[in-house]
This record gives sequence, structure tokens and C-alpha cells, in this order.
Amino acid sequence: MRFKLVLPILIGKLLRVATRLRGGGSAFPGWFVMKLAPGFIDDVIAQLSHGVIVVLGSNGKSTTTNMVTGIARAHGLKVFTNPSGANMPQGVASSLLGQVSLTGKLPHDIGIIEVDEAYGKVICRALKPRAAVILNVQIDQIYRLFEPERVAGMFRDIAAEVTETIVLNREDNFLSTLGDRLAEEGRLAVEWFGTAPAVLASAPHGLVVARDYANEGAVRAPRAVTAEVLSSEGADTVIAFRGEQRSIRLSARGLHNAVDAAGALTLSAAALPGEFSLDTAVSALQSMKTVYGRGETITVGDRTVEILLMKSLASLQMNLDALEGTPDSVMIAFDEHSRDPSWLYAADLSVLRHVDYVSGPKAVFIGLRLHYAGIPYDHVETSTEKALQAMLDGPRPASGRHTLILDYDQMMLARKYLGYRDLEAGAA
Amino acid sequence: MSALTLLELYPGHLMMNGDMGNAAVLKRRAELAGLGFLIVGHEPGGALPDHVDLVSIGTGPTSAQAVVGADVALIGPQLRELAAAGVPMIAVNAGFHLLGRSLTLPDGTLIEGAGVFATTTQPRSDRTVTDAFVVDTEIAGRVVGVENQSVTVTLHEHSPLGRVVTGRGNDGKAEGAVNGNAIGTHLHGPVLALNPALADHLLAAAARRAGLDYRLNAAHAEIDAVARQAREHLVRGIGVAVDAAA
Repeated sequence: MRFKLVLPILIGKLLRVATRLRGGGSAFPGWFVMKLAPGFIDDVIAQLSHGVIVVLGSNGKSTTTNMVTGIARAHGLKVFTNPSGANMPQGVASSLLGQVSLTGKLPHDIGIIEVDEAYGKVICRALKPRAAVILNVQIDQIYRLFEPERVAGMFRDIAAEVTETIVLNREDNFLSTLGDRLAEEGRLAVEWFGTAPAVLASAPHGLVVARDYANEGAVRAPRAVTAEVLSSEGADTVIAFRGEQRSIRLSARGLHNAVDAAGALTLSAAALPGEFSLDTAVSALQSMKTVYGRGETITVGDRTVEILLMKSLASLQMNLDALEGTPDSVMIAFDEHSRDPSWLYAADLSVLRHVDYVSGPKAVFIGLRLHYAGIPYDHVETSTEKALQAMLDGPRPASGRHTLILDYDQMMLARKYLGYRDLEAGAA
Repeated sequence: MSALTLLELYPGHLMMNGDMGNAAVLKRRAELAGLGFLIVGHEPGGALPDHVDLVSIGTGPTSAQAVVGADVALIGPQLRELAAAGVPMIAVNAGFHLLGRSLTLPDGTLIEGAGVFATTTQPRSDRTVTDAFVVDTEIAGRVVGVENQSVTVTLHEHSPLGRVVTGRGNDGKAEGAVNGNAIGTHLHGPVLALNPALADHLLAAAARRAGLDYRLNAAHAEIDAVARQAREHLVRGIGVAVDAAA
């Protein structure tokens, strides 16, 4: 049985090395191995004693996957996880290729996998997840996802592939409808995480979730939450988990991170029944590193560079809402592949008073948006690296902090550039 | 009255694609010209303000269109009156369809529109997403935006906004509708942010009706240069010039 896998795995691994030598990862080796051995993913994941759990949602997938992975590792489990971004079937197969032996042995206990909504059905059919968390349904990437209703439908289809437990955000309009339906069906255990009403009320733009117009005004039974965010101040949150309150300092600021943590705790408890310890989980959350580019701070000489992600309206708005006052040194950089720039106008940018650099291939669209918001900006530099270097070479801001609000590709570029600087700067 | 009042229809429902930016653009440009500007929102069940100088309506998911449909029919007579009086309007995508005569949703539900535009709108099974949607218009020359829609619009009278250069528009040939100073279109971007000439057309008409002077200055020119660069960016690589041949 296993022997059949040797050749496909060998070829896949060689392809993986080759594509990496050419620079960057690739989903191609995964695609190739799945062509040669369609049962590859099945065979490999069947070895996981704790099975696979998946993380879904419009925003927060990478952060939550990171949190659940950290919690599971703190419980002594060996975790297989996909690097953020590799959330399509071929990508997962490629990541598995990097971990398995030539005979297809996978030395892990649990798979914790981030899954793209549009590919979720296919990938979950292959992975047969025991448990899943769905974080939110937000207006996101409408050039490919079209309408939130369509995304909610994708999540409904994905839920049908989950075998034991589904963890849902009580404060999400579409997910509360979905959860009620699933609870009525009775096939899955439905667990909720949530945010206390007072916390929601004091968030400038709430959780930026999509409205479910078709089901508004429906009377609903109360939903008991497993984990609830009771407060969120900067990176500090208080979460009640099954009635026990814990203060947690997370690795990044913002209500969205606190809500992700509540979701991560709920999913972890469902994924590790009998083993889950709240103390272990909380200390794992406290000692966690940020997923790169998500509220990450990097020290460069006498400056702090903070990287905030703006890959959708929700991520931009939640990150702006989490700022402690008006940042005094700001760069905003927009990707070429952000195809429809319209959503920039749905964001409330009023926390910004001034922007130093607009950057990225689509810098001009940020500039135009700032003009109409009446927010002045100093420089347009389409190269994110050059803009960043110019900022670092410029005067040190009073706060000592440069706030970088970056689209996905620009975040990767900026990070790579800063890492390179770190190496050059040696012990700095 | 030295301030212009813009009526924004259903901002809580038709907010999927940043078209609320059109109201923000009109406000900013009016203010840069020294005019006061007030945005008043209207949601289903509410009453329209007594005085309206401009109207803006954006796009939303099918579910939101179904919810606001009844209210659109209710305020339809008032909107038709405003349009007949020459009040400038910008209606985008679902907002354009809702301000037409009727709109059929994908599930077959027929929604009676406001009747500002002489259009009927039918759903299609496929969706058109055009990253550089280019339309040649009489009122603002070549306009550029983004298209994301899945309907066919039939224009029974009135003129289209323009001729499709790239993308699909109403039917693959014509795009949008113009009734007096009311403009319906599928252009996102938002359309007025990317195409200030269209915004100025609406503002000039509104100011004229209000006995005000809408005069452009250097601050507008600065924005217009950036908007032009944005349009140039969108058409780069598709072999279409940013300006129509004279």
C-alpha cells in the first residue's frame, strides 16, 4: 500500500526542492503528486491520531491557525500545519510532501489547516476534518466571491464535510443563522464563541461583519458561548472560558485578535477533548509570536516598525480601530492584485491625520482615496522597499514608531526587506 | 441656501462595493469649491428630506435589493419628481437597476423600481467582472472604472450613458442610462472618484439649480491629476487609451 506512494512522493519531493531553488514555494509539486497518487492526502492524514481540524473565515484564518497550533503544541502534540497562504488542495499537498517520509509516513498527531472558502469544499472532502472553526463572513474580494450570501453558502457546504464539531462566531450574522440550522439538524456539535455586548458597542465599527438582510429580525433562541471576549484594550483581553475568566496579553492589538483567541480556545477544547487545559492554552497564547505581518513589530535600530495588514475592508478597519491614537509616521501600500480598489472608500480612515508614504504598485489609488478623505500625504513611491528605506533614513518620529499599513504582497516585501536589514545590521 | 444636500439612498443596505465613495467625492469637491455639503441617509420606512439637491445610490447583494424593494416603489413618485425637476443623481449597479422601471432577481422575484430610468433588468446566470471597464460618454468623455455585475439591462427610452469600449455594460454595447441630470451606471471605482468630470457635471447642475457657483480651483486640479493616473493604471496593459480619440 505505502509502497505505491514511494515514486510519486520521491518525484513530488524533487519537484519541491526544484521549485524552491527557483525561489519561493509552489503548489505545483502538490498538484503533481495528487495526479500520480490521488489517494495521497487520504493515506497521509489517516495516520494522524487526532485527525485534522480546519480554520475558515473571511479574516483571521492565519492568526487563529497560529493560535490553535501553539495551543496544541503546548499540550505536547506534534502539529502539521500549512504555511499561511497555502490554503488550497495542491498547496496543502505540497506542504504534506515536505513532511512525509518516502513511504508516506507523517510523524505528526494532528493537522491544523487554514482553508480558503472557495476551495473549502474540495479540500475538506479530502481532509475529513473532525472539527472546524468559522470566524466570520465579511465583504471580501468581491471580484471573485461576489456576495456574502455566496460565501455563507460555501461555508454551509464545508460544514457538511465536518464530522464532529463546528465552532462559530455568535456575533456573525450569517454564521448565527448557519449554526442554528446545524443545531437543528443535530449531526454536529455546535459550539459558539462570542463578544460581550458592551465590548461590541464600544468598538468603533463593531466586527465589520456582513449583514444578512434576508434573515434580519428573525427571533432566535439564546446561544450559550464556550468562550466570550469580556474586554479588549490594545493587546490585552479578558476572556471567559466556560465561566472561568482569564486575562491574556496577546501578541497583537485589536478586538479582532481577541475574538480570534476566543475562537481558538473553543476550537482547541473541541479538538483535544480530555486533554485540554485552559492554563496551558492561555500560557500558549501569551507566549505566542505574531503571524508575520499581522500586527507584528520589528525593531530596526532606534525605530519600531509595526506592520498592519490591509487585505480587505474588515482587516484594514479593525487594524485602524485598534490603533492607540493617531500614528505619527504612516506608510500605506497597495498591491497590484487588489483588483477592485472601490472598497477603500468603505473604510473610515479618520483616525489618520497624515500619511508619509503611499506605496505599492497601486499607490495612486491610495493617494486618490486620501485626497477625498482630506488626509494629506507627502510622498508617492511605488516601491515599498524604497519607501520603507526612505522612512528609516528620515527623521525619527516622536513615537519612535513607523506604522506600515500593507496589502499582502507589500507586507511580504517589506518583511523580507527588513529581515535582510537585520542580517546586515548584525547584532543591532 | 448656501449648502447642497445630498440624499444617499439605503447606505446601510447598498454598501457592498464602496459606492458610498461617490457621496464622499461630491462632498469633498463641493467643499473645495467653497460650498457647504450635507449628506442625508435614507433607509426603508424613513421619510425623504424636504429639500434635495443631489441623489446617490450604490450597490448591494441580492438579499438587500429584495429588502429595500418595497421602499423603492414607495418613494418612486418623489424620486421621479426630483429627476423631472433636474436634480442630479448617480445610481450605481443595483442602485441603477432599482431606480429603473423593474428588476427581476435571480429567484424570479419582480421588484417594481422607482421609474427614474426607463429600464428593465433581468438576471444572467454568469457574472461579468471587468478590471478595466471603459465607456465612451458624451457628458464626460471616456470614463474608466471596474465592473462586477450579472444582469442584462434593457433601455426602453432615454439615452445610455455611453458606448462600451471594454466590458459588458447593459448588453455588451450600451452602458448605463441618462435621464436629464440623473445617471445610472455599472461603473465602480467609485465612478466619481476615478472620473471627476462626471462628478463636476453633477455638481455644476446641482449648483446651478440652487443658484450657487461651482467653481473649480487648484485643489481640484491636484486631485484630477491623481484620478487620471489611477485611470491610466487601470487601462495599462489592455491596449486602450485613457482618452477617447477626438
